Amino acid sequence: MGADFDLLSGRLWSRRLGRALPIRSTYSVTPDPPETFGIAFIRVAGEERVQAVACGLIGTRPSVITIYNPLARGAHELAPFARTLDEYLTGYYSREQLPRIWLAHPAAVTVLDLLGYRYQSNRHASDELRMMGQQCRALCEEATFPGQQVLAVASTLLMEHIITGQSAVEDQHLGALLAWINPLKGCDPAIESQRRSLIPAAALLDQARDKQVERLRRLARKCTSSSELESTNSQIRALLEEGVAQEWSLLEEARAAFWQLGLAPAPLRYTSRLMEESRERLRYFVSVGTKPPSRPHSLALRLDTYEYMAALVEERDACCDALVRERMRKAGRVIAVRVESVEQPTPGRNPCRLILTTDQAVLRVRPGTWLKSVDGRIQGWIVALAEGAGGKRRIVFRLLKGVRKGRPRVGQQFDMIDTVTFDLRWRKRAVYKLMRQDEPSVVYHNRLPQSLPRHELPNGLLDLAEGKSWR
Amino acid sequence: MAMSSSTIVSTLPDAGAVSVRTVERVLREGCPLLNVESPPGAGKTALVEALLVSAVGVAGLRAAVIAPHAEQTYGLLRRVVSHYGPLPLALLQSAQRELPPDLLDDQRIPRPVSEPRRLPGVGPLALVATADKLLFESAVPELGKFDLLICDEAYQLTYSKLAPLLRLTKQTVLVGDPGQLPTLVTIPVHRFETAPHRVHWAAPRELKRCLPDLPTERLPVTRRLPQDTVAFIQQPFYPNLPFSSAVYGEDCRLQFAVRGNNSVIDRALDLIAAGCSIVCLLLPGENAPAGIVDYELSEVAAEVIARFLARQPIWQGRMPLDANHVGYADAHVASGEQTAQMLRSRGVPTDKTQVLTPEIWQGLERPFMAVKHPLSGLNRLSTFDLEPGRFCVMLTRHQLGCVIVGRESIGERLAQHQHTCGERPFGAENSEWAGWQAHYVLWERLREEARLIKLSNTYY
Amino acid sequence: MSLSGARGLARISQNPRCDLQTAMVIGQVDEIEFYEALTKRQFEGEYGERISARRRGNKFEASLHQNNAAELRRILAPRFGYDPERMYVRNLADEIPDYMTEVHRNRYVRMMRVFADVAGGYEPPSVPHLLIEPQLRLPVSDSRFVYVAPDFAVFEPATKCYVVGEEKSMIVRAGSPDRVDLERTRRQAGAEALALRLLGDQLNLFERVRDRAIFVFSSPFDITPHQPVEEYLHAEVSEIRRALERYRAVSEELQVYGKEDGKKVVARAHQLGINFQNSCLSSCALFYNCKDRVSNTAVVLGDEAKDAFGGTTELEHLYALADGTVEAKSAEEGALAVRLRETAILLGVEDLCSGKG
Repeated sequence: MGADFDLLSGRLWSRRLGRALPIRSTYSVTPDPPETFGIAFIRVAGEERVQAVACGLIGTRPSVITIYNPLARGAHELAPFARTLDEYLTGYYSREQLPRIWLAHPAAVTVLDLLGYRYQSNRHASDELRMMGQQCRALCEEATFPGQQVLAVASTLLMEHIITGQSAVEDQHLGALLAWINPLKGCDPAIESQRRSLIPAAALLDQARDKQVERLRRLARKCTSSSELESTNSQIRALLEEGVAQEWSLLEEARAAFWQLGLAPAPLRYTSRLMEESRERLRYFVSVGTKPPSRPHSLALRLDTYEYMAALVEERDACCDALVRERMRKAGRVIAVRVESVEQPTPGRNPCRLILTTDQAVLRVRPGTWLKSVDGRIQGWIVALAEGAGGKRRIVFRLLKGVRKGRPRVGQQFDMIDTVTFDLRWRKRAVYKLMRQDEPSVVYHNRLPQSLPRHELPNGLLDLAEGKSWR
Repeated sequence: MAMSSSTIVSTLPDAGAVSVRTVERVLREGCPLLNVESPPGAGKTALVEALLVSAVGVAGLRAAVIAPHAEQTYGLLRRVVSHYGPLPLALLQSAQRELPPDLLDDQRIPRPVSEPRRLPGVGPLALVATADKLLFESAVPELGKFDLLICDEAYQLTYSKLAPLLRLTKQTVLVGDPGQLPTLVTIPVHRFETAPHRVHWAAPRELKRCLPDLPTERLPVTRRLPQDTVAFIQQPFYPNLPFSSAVYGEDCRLQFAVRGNNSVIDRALDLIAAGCSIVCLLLPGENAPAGIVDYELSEVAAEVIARFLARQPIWQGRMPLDANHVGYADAHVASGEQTAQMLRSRGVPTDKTQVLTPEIWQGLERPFMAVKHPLSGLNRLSTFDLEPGRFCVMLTRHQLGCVIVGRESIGERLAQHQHTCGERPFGAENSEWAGWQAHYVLWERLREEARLIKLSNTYY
Repeated sequence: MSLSGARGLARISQNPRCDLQTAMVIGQVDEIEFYEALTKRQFEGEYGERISARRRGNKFEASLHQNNAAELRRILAPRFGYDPERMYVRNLADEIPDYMTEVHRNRYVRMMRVFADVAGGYEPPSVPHLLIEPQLRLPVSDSRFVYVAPDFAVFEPATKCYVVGEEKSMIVRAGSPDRVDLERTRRQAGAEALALRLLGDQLNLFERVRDRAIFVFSSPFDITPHQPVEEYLHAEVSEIRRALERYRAVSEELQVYGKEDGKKVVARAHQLGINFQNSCLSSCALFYNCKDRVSNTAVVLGDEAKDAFGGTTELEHLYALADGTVEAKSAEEGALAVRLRETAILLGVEDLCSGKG
């Protein structure tokens, strides 16, 4: 049974307990900055166009914008949203700080992203709206990076941190999820979750309101007087405001529930790099744009970055989060070892080998695997693995970091993890730059270069090579 | 009935001819990019050696050979210095890495250098390095350019690692086994699957996609697997690489000094001795435990190996076999560990009879293997579970015979498998379907050839 | 959500072991009425397509088909090496409008004639380059068929045969549309591809008809189409084949054959087997009703839990194993009990298991 088994049996226990259970002991995001921005949408189903948006600093009354005719060209109604968002983001860039934007669920991210696509290069839109488009796209592009610290999607974060007594598909409804996190007294969360799942939580009006709005819009198109039109529009506005207020409430409830889990923050030394990367990327995306990588060098660099970020996240979790570390141990990624002996011909100097033993049954390492201690003081790689007496495993470990003062003593016990991060992108960037400059035809143009025959070579090349053989 | 063809001798494709052709195409004709596809045990490293020696020793070129892992580069060095006279060899590796003791003691092996500036600047050179190291150093001007880049185990290398190296060389040869495990990528790859360049794919696979007319040679024989095994694995795992066995029936005969006791396990071992190189032992599927670890099945696997050794096996014409000549493959570490414990309880030393995952078995071989069917015990078959490369590696490590252990329900699971039709990225190939097909075809073949042998719960 | 045609078969294919759903599709029941008849309660959830989504879908399709399918010609032509201005288009929906009697059958007859011409060696412009709303069918018994209608079919010069196509207004973003929508569309296209294959087989076209479809979705910009994407649909066709087998089997078992037997389906609903799974949430109005039926078993925690613990394993049995109040019947159950307790300790809820074992 693998590590996922803990999550499955966690659902069992959550159901018995009647509330959600944390599956992490630390938060995967850094604490919110003093001012945190929230965005809630109501979209037109199918079109994914904004018909209402509530935005602003969380904990304050949001600005609400409603759009009577979201399918019309030229959505100048979004200008206040554009200004508010820009003000927030620009403020944070100027202070060299990391902004934090909360959205309720992935449907809201989709709306944000499409807003970005539709406005970032829209010639018919104002500069302000184009900037809004760039910023929206930048936020959504940043959201694809493992460990990013800018865009907080409440339902996704909650599902990473807790487990409920219902199925994972039901958890995807934020209201249903919250029913388990903040169960009502005397009420079975399964029943409350079912009740809440009847209310849309995907940036939509409920069906009844949606039909009403549609009917009113049809009416508005036939209005003959301005007062009639105003009356119809104000009814539309009221319905949209109710809907977006509901979404905003859901967002605030989810965010509060998240921080009320009471988990510990991960230490800064494991999160500062993630924050720095997020900040730099966001700045880059906003200023240069977010055209998806499509050429070999940019795709290769993007792959490297995703892998590096994923490794940083894993390292943070393994080193800082006891619950996650235990799950990794069951999967063989974290090993409890004991130092059996030390081979160091010159004290305090390389080379230094440790002979480690472990009685952990499940190991997912092999010769060549890099390991480091959870506290980061010791690092090196496995030279050899062997069976020891009594079912123990013997690891011959070449120590590279911790050779001097921090060198472990015989008998010392500690945990080691197989996530050792190396940021080689600085070198890879140089490599990819040269690749881009030289543009090998095979790579960039799907074209084979010309053959380069060597007519001067003697016959029977392989025989001549065999002639050099000692066999 | 063993699936050996009586026409092997007369119709054996000429593997030597392919090697000659490869060397000629590369060195004389100057083919800029050649992909050499190889079944398991076909001698691809021997081809790499020969090409390297021809290029450097005969043609006087400056060549580099890369492989994904350091151990593979050491293996190549051992072979080159053992088989050939002095070559201008160089080994580029990280200063933090140590050579294995046998290479440290071997005067013929050059001392590794960690920086290109320490390499000979001009003249013929056979540079050996891992792909990562060469990539890392490729921006350093002192590395220079090469006439030829040979990539061994090319299917274990991502395109993102090979592509930047193509600017360093006039000619490139990729040598690899298309049936193996895919390259390991640790992040979700949806975005990359729909990109114009699939940088996360194995290098030869992406190059074949971009260059449908990519010059290709195919090694036509395996020198490891008996023809009986080839008949089973060819279609599901190598549909585009026809090959046959160069192993004569007499050269892969197993014999037991101790007669069987007529148990089902012993009868299965007797079938292997009779030439049926792959046999599958199945426990009942009803009431099979849910989950990866199946104690009963681990008992069966351990018993198979224990009985094999207890019957004093002999590789006819070669040597008696012992625990060192047996291996066990299990796709799941926890399940493998359970079997290892049961082996130890039967006195089988697991430091000799190694219990490893397919990822680690890649590149290794044993006369006799036992493997746990990767789909055994699973109620739901995911794309990961169905990955054919895993099972292909497991079924291509043996030289004499392989016993698969599993639950009868595997067939039913395959037949009833519900394909997920929304998971794969838009426009991407359906690897779940390809994997399912490979497993299904193989299972049906085993069934048709009466290689599925049922065990009752009391199989002793 | 429609249970007819390709959509109905797609629904069955997603959960072929659910006889209740299969019977609903066969009987073409109104899902909400069915729910209310079965449960004796009003359906409280949301059901059916939103007006805006339906409007967008119609608008998207209209934009592709207007002016003799000018836009569809424009985007498909480069793929097949055609001059879009010279593509011959037949629109079977225009030729035989919906209000006519035996619409499906008549359109199918015309489709057969086109295919017969193709089998006879005719190529465009003797046969259309592009067919709009071609009609195909799949046999569900000796005399009954499910009619399926791809949005279009385009003639491919390489195989000298048609390829079916689906148009959907869902938006492609970062190379992909929404996964749930994509799955549904692929399955529907699988039904259409299979129907085309069967028609081709009748006319000995065998190798020329392949299990593929072309998808035309929307870009993020208004209803501008995204570039067409072709996919092989072997898996989907296989799923639809299984769906057809279940359709036939359930139909025979229950003696229900079509819409006329809707009441029979309702009457026998309680006797029909269900197969509760994750995908039911987004596809079936009876999700919570069926969930109630399995609420005391592991399957209520999701498909993965069903796999890990066994679908029919009662939750109380698992708790009792962990508590030690029930003895493990096998080594695996014993290990399961230990692991359940370990998880309880890990998550800090060890008080929930008394640990008598």
